[in-house]
Amino acid sequence: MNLTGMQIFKYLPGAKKAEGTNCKKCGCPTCMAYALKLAKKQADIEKCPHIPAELKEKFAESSKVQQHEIKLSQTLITGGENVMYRHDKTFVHPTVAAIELDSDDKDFDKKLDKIAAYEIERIGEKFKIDAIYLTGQNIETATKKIEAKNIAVISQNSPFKIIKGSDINELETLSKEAIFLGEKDIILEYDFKNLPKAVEQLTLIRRAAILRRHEPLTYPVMVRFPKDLDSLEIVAAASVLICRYANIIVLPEFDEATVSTLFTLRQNIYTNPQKPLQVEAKVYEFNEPDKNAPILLTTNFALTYFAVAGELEALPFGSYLVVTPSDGMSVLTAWSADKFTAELVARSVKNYGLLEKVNTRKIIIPGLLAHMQEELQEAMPEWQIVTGTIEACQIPEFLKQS
Amino acid sequence: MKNIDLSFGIKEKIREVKLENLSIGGNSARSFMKENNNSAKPLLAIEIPYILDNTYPEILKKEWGCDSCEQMLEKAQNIGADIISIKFNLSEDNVDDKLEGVKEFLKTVLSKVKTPLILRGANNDPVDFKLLPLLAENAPKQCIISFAQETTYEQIVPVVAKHGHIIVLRSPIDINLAKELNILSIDKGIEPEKILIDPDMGGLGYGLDYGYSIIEKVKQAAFDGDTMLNMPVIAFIGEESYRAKEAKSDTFSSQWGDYEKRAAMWEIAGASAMVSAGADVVVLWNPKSIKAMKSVFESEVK
Repeated sequence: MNLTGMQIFKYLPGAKKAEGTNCKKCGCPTCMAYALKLAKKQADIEKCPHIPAELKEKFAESSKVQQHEIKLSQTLITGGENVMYRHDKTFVHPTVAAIELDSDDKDFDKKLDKIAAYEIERIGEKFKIDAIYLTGQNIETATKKIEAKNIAVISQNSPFKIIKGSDINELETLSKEAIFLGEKDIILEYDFKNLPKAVEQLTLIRRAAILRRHEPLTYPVMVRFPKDLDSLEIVAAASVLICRYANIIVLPEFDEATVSTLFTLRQNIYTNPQKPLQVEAKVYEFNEPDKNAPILLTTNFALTYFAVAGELEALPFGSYLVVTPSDGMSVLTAWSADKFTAELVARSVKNYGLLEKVNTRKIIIPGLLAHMQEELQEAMPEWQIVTGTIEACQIPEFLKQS
Repeated sequence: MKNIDLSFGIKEKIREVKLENLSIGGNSARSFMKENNNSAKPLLAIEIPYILDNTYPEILKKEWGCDSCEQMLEKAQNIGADIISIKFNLSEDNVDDKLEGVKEFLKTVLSKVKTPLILRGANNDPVDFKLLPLLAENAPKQCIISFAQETTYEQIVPVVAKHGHIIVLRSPIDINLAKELNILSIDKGIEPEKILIDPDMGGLGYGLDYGYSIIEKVKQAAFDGDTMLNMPVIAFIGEESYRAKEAKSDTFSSQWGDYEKRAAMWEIAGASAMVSAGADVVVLWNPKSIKAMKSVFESEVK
């Protein structure tokens, strides 16, 4: 853990009103100001003549990197993780999804084209294959072709050093040697034998990095899956390792269903738990709605939006969905946090200019907010407020009946 | 690495729940880890519906190739599942007419099943008030009864306790509510050794991350020694997975991949994440998931 300003301040003369309190020799007006700067690593610890050895030691320890960030290409960074669990803060750089390709493969161009053409979108985020793990003899030519498609290349010619080992001890030894020889950018490639062993070794490596800041293991870890696993087994193994500490996964072949599934899991795990996914607050249109199409309303929590949008998209007629600016909170959370008030709803609907745009005069609100109906009705007298369903999946039935 | 301590925050064991020859929990290691002279092995359950109707995903009907619950049950016993779960999917409209049939089914069909059983209600309070006590009273052997929640535990827990079964307690993705429901249910007479925690969850792509993090937090509380949160965790991920349109609709673009494959993968990815977070039992719907996960999770012994 990095030291906070207050943790540092405790050791300074200012905290004890001791000799040297606010002496300004460090260049800061007070000990407190200096402590805050130290915490942000904006000051030099040697400038204070009163610092005890204990703080210097703690400070040196906390200044060590937990996991290095390595650039796989101009735009792709891996590593840089600093917690064991996503709920401790958040994970940083999503697991890199790489596909293994043999540069000597006669179908190389065809395979590369297929991989480069792949793109899916989920909850406002686009996913493409991040990198190619390149083998074979023809690496130079193949690298140029891959880079031309804006995909990162991982190979023996990469500007970073790939170290291979089958357990934590072997990787530590080899990494130490590489560091001794001056390597700065290292990738630890774990030689996958079976999943339980891989989870164990990757967990120990991540602990050595995050909790102990043990330099030889503070580099991103890559796992390459063997070709003898079938695609369902790959999904099981890769899913566990996305959760349990692989920075890069290399799949033996490209398969759309596999990567779509794994990207979805990656999105779930790497979502910042302190910041819910949200969509833009505006009026969404489905299936080219006409002036008499039904209007529904909900918050901008991404999961709520997509559940409702999925249903509206599937309907044989058009509809509008008004999405309120509720800080990405779900319906009830937003209501209890005052992010879904009658006033806010009325204002949103007004700003969107719906009244002028459509002939419909009914707005359907989420069933969970039935208790707000009267309040909303008062705030929006030009509309008729109707309470809708609690579950998104009940919407089609509800609309067909009304 | 000899002089670096890589142990991490495990003071106490997960509480052990015993069901026939199965040990659920009881470990002082995280999933797949060998630590503290212990290891954790996740259990895989397969779930089938009591009534095979048109609410059951077509893709799974095809996979099972069965016309009835009885046929599915036959098959379920031969796919390597540790536990078989039967979801008694009755509704308010038919529950009164069906209860006798359920009783008969327990007596004549389930009594022959050697695999440990989960008997699951309809997740509809008015139905479960009638159904769960009947399941507890007529079960042919000790079973896991699922589930009681805030609105039903007062009625359900005492009956389940009286007949010596294990109860699943479901709380809505909140560690404090999970703990509270455990305490309240113990007050109603169930032993702590007969509780499984179901923290509820969303499937892959639909809020899985919330349930995932709750399981991680529950496990940490347990390893820290919280005796009211150290019961094993069960995750009904099959049901959640097959709610997702990615798993039950083939209307996606070709970029999303072959539908049959994706439907199976959707469940496997969600379940594997739950196991990673620390779920002790994952309940699956697709036999293919059991096969793939068993093969990968137990590959060390091969």
